[in-house]
Amino acid sequence: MVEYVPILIFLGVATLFPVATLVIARLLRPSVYNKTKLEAYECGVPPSGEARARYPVRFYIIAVLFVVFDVETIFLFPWAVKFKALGVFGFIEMLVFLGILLVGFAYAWKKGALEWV
Amino acid sequence: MTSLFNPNDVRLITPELVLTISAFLILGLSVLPDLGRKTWAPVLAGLACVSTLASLLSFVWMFGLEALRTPDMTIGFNGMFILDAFSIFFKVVFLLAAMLTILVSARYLEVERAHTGEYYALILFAVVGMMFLASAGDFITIFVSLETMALSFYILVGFLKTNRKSNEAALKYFLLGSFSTGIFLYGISLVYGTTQTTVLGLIGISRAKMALQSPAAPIFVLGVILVTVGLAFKIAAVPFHMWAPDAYEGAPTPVTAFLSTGSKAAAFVVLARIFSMGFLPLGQRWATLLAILAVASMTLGNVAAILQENIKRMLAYSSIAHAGYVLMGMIAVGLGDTVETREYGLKAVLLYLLVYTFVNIGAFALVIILRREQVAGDRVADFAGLSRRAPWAAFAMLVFMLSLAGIPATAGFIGKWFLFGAVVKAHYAWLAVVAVINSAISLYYYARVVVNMYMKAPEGAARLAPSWGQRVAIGACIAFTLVFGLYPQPIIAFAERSILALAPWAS
Repeated sequence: MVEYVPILIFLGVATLFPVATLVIARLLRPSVYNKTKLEAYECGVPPSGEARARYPVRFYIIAVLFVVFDVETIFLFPWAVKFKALGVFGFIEMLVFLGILLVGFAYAWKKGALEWV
Repeated sequence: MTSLFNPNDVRLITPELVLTISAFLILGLSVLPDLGRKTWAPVLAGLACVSTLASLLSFVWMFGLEALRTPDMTIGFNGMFILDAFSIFFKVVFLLAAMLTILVSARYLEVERAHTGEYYALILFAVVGMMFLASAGDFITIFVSLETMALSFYILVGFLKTNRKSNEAALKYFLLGSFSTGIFLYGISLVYGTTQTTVLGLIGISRAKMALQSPAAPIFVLGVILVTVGLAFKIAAVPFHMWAPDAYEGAPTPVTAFLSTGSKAAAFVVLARIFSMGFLPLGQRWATLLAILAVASMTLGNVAAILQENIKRMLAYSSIAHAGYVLMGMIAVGLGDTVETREYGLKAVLLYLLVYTFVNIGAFALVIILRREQVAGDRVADFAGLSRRAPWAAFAMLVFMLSLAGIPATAGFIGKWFLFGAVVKAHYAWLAVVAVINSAISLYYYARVVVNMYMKAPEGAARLAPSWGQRVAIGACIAFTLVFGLYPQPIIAFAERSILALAPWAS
């Protein structure tokens, strides 16, 4: 059980740190309220409309495509770091992986997933 | 640690590669607009299955089934992939199930106006997942291929995009399925934490015993329980069966047929492999666990099936009950005091899953041909007077119902005979008694369909118009059920030579 002590300490620090910062910040900062401060934060521009508005289902396809290429990058990155150690095997493996993704991408493209209808 | 990758290993996955490439081909072709009514898609998918089967059998021809029982030559990718007789048996079952499904699909999908190439590509992807599951010798491979299979099925269940029931079924199946996958993964992580390996062969030999004697034993046992729960979801054993009736009812009927046979058999492969390779020293304990699941599944499945008016729901509950029967074979594997008893249990599991695949797809094929324009055809009442409208279809349904109930002279009887024998051999005779009582209960609702077909007046005079593919599939299922019901030696021998080689320390 001794090897778990660092985790326990880490847990304690991780809990105390945010609590401490919040409390200290509250004690030190001046509290000036105004209306703008209480508004929802939308990247700095004035907020428009409700957060629960309906939006087109087309966004889901864009989101799914985004996830696909995001995951692709996640796999490409460690391969690039260890490129020399993995050698030819890694290269071919990556080509296969990219090939499969490419088929999927070609399918989505042909099917019209990239068009905003 | 041996080398990362041995190019020689690739030959072991040739059948899977053939199937994967064909699936991609079908997917690619299906977006080309000028290929018209997609009649080429089922043909291509069928050819893909046949050539995969051929490349699979070439291994048997090369090494011989007997030599593949204790595989040395055919373990690849550092123990992650095992091409043994056991896996070949199940791969054959999956491919046969897929071929039957493809045969019955085309006409049904045309009626539903959902006939697309993607459907066949997804079926093939699901089979790829199942085939890798059958060969998986490592928890990581098991997890990845389980997901390949499950994701394809989530889409297939919701394939009728304009049908609310189909959408609901897909959503329920997806949510519960991914939840169960999470539980399964948690179990794997605990087992990995206590045994320091994900390779099943390594866990089995000594590490399971070591883990049991270490202070971390409760964590190991918890891991085993969570893995069991995850798999119980996939085979739809009570109390983890909630998704099954809804998913089976809402899914397109050919998908239901494939889901209830292929996916269930795939989950049993994993169960058999994990429990008899990895967790065998714990046999007594997990057998008790499975016995509870088996009794609950049989009883609840059969009793609930009596109340169903929708035949797809009825067959869903019946399939829950059948999962309970098959679990009895696994119980004999865990409890057996000799290697013979354990192997007898495994043989019963293999045999039953093969028989069940043909019988159940046959029964669903009949539900499929009742579906016509404007007629859903999935109520038990829709079978009324079928013997006068379509005598051959009625006879086929009669055979499948009797076989599901386990009446002698059908293949279902042979399957049950071995399962019940297995638990008796393992000194768990009370379980066999429960199973026999349950078979008697099940006869009621199977007979209800028969009564509807033969003793009630038909509601309409509409004739059935099965396609030639559906005729071939139903014919093959009847032939299988009757021929191997009367002369079961070939399939018994096939199962006998395919059982997993259990290590000698098993007893």
